[in-house]
Amino acid sequence: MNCHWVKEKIFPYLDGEVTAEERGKIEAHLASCQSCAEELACFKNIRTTAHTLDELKPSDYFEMRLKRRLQVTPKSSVWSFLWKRRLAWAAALPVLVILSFIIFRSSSSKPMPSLQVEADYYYLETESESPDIQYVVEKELSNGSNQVLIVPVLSYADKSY
Amino acid sequence: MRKDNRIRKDVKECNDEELMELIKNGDTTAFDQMVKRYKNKLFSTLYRITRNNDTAEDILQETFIKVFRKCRLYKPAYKVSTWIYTIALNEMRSYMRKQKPTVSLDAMPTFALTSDPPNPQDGLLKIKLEQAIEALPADYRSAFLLREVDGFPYEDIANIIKCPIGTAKSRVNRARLMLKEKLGKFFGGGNR
Ligand SMILES: [Zn+2]
Repeated sequence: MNCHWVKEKIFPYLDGEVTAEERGKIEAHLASCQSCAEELACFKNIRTTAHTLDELKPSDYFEMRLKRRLQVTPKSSVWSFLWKRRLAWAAALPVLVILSFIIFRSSSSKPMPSLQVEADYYYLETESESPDIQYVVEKELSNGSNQVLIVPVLSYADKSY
Repeated sequence: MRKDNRIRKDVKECNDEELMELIKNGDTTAFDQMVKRYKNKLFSTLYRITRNNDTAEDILQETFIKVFRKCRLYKPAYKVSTWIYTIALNEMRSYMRKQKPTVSLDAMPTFALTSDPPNPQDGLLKIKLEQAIEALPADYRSAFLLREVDGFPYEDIANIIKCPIGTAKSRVNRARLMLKEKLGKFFGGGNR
């Protein structure tokens, strides 16, 4: 067992990521090698001191400011969401027109799906980048097609204590 | 004012995951409790990374606003603490990107301790450590703080700072080596 091997293992040892066998070898070496023992003691002391660093506090007005900001209901969200993506919508429009024409032709005899939101919707992984939109929900309708719902953010002001 | 007549657990007794469930249902007392639980811890880390009171506080504001408004994106597969820290460090990155001319986290004013340490010897070590942490490169500093001050496992650190686990480990270890280099004589490691 040499110092080089122990020094390589010193961080995994410190992090508790060595096997029982390795730990035994390291500790046996530390008992007889002052240099390695001092090095480990230094890392341990740094860690102990880091654990006890003072907890710092934001200003006294932090929570008041936070509440005030949360009570501002976001501006009409759906329209700003759509507006910010106007180019994308413009590009998609011809495709949508053609698609809806095809769908209409193929399904004109079937009843239209209900537009009610049910509780069994699931969330898409995608998080909205708009600060006003909490998430986009995709709901599978009984006929197998998907309905996309845009859900605005929760408003702190709407809720009572 | 609406009153809920059902008997419910005091938010102070709820664990983080239970609080998140309440927040998802629009419970603002649960949210306030979450803020109380995390604001100092998170502020300490943000302050030590950014070394600016106002910046750290602004980022903390944005973080909690996201926690509230995007609460439904929280998945119980993650620990709440990891989720909140991930939001905070994302906010910090985007805050730093918006700063023109580019603010570098690697060259900023020195750390000032606000309170008198109770034990002079203990206090000296803390000041030395604060100063040495401050002098670390920003990436190493974040990783070291998350590991040794906030106590996150490497897997969580990798998620929070968005890097592979191996990178998180090597950043923490490089920080440890640099700190030992600087502080060896104070922390009993000689000057090797
Ligand atoms: Zn040795």
